[in-house]
Amino acid sequence: MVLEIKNLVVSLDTFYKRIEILKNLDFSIGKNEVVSLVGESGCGKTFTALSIMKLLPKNATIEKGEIFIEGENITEKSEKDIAKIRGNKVSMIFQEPSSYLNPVFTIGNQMTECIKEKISKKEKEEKIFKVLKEVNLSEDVFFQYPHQLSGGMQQRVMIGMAIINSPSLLIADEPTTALDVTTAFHIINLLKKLIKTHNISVLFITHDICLAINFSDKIYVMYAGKIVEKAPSKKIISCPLHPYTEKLILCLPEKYKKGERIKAIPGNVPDFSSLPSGCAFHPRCPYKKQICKNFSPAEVKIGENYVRCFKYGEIVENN
Amino acid sequence: MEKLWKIIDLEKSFVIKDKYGMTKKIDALKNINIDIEKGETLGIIGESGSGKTTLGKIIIKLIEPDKGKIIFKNTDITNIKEKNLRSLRKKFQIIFQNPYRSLNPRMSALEIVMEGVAGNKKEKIEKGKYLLDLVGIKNEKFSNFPSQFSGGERQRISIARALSTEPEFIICDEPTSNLDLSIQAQILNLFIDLKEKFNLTYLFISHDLKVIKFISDRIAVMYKGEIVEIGQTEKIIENPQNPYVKTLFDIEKQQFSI
Repeated sequence: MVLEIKNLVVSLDTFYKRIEILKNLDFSIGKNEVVSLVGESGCGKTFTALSIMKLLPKNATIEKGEIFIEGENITEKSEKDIAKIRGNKVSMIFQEPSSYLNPVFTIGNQMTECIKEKISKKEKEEKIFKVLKEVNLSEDVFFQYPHQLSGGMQQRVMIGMAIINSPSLLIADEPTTALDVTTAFHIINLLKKLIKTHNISVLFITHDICLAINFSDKIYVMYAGKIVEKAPSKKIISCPLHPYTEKLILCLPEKYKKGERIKAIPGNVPDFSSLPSGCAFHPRCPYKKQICKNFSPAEVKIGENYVRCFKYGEIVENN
Repeated sequence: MEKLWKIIDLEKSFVIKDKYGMTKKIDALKNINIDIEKGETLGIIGESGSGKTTLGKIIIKLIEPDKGKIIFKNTDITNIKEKNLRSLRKKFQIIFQNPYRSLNPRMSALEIVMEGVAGNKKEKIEKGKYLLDLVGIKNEKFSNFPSQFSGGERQRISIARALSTEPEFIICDEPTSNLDLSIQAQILNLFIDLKEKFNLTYLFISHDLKVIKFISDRIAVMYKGEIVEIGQTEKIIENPQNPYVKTLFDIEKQQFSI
C-alpha cells in the first residue's frame, strides 16, 4: 500500500467551538492505483489532502488515527522529517496554478528548488529540461516568468514540479477546474500518460463525478466529512449503493431529455457547524428510517463496494 | 414566431494595456448576427474569453457596441437615449454567475426583491413575498441578509429579483457554475418552471455543455469573439459542422460524460 489511512479524525477550532471535519476516515491506495475522491464543496475533500501532506491550518488538529505512507507512520513525525517526505514521496498539484507559482522567480529557478537530490547545477538543469519535455513544454519556459504562461502551461509546470522527484503518490486537488474544457482534456491526458510511465499512485480530488469515472480505477464518495461509498468506477454508475451516490448521478443534466425535470436532491449540502444527527444525509434521503436520525451507520461490504447506509443492515458505528 | 431580438453585424473591441504598457486593440466580438425568438432558450457556449458575457451585456445595453444594430421588438435601441432605455430595462433582466457578489449585503432578501416591483409599499411587499415563495425561499428567512443564505439560496434570490420587474427576457450568465451538482439540478428545474409560468425567453450563457444541452432549444457556439455555429440543439449535437465544435463535443463525450 502506498497510502493507508486508519480511523482518521481531524477537527478544527473555530471561534465558537471545536468541530469535527473528518470523521473515521479509513481508506488506502495501492501501488499504481488511481483513486478519485468525489464530493460537493465543503465535504472535506481538500482537508483530507492537506492532512496527508501535513499542511493543515494551525487551528486544525489530528485527534485520532494514523496515516501511513509506504508503511511509514507520518502522524507523529516532526516537521523536519515531514519536509523530507513532502515533495519527495508525496507531491501535490492544486486547483489554481497561478497562485502557487512565485511571480518573481523564473520557472527554471523554482523547479531547481524542487529537486531534492544532491546533484550539480548542470545535472539539475538537464533534469528540468527532461521534465519540461515530458509535460510537453518547450525549453524556453525555463527562462520565463509565471505571468508569461497561460493557465494550461502553468498547470503543466506544476505537474512537472510534482513529478520531478518521482514520487510514489501524487495528490491532484481539482487540477482542471480552473481550466477550459479543451485545455482540461490535454492536462488529463498528460496526467494519464505520466502516471503510467512513472508508476505513480494518484489521489484525484474532484467534484466532477463524470471526470472521476473516466479517470480513475476506484471512486470514494464523500459526504459531510465521511466516505459514504467506496466502489470501482465502473460499478458506481451501474449500481450505486449509497442513496447519496444514486441521487447525485441522477442530478446530471445529461441523463434527461429536454423539457424533463431533473430529479434533484432536496435541501442543501450541510454546513459543518450544524451537521444533522445520526447519518448526515438523512434529511435529504428518500429511504430514511427512524434509526438514521439517531445513529451513524458503520461501513459494510457488499460485493466490491463498501457503503455506509442502514439500508444494507442496521449496523451502528461505534466511536 | 415573433422575433424578440434582432442583432445585426455587431462588433465590439476593447483597448487594453499589455504587460509592457503598450495599448492594444482586442476584438471582443466580430460579425455577430443572431435572432432570438419569443419563448425560446438560446444557449451560448464557449471558452473563457470567447466573448459570451460581452455579448450578453451588449444586448441589454450595459456596454455600448462599436458597430451594428440591436433591435428589440421592432424598435432599434442601438442609439436609444438613457431616459427611454430606463423604462425598457424592466423588460430585460440579467442573472449573474456569482451570487456572492451580485446581491447587496446590506439589504434583506425581501428588500432586494421588492426594490424592483412597481406600486405602493403594500403591493411591493406582497409581490416580493410571493416571488420569494415562488423561487423556494422559506417564509421565516425573508428578512435574512444575503450572508445568511447558502449559494443556492442566493441564486434563488437573484432569480426572484430578476422576476420582480415582470421581464420578458432574462440573460442567465453562468447561473449554475458556482453551484454544486445537487443544487445545480434544483436551480435548472426552477428555470424551466419559471419559463413555463411566465412565458419567458432566456439567453443562457454557460461553458458547461451538459447544462446547455439540457436547457436550450438552440445553441450558439462562440470562439474568439465569433459565433462559429448556431442551430437547433439536437442538430448541432448530432452533426456539428465546424471543426472546433466537433472537437469540443468529442472531448465532452470522451472525458466528461458517462
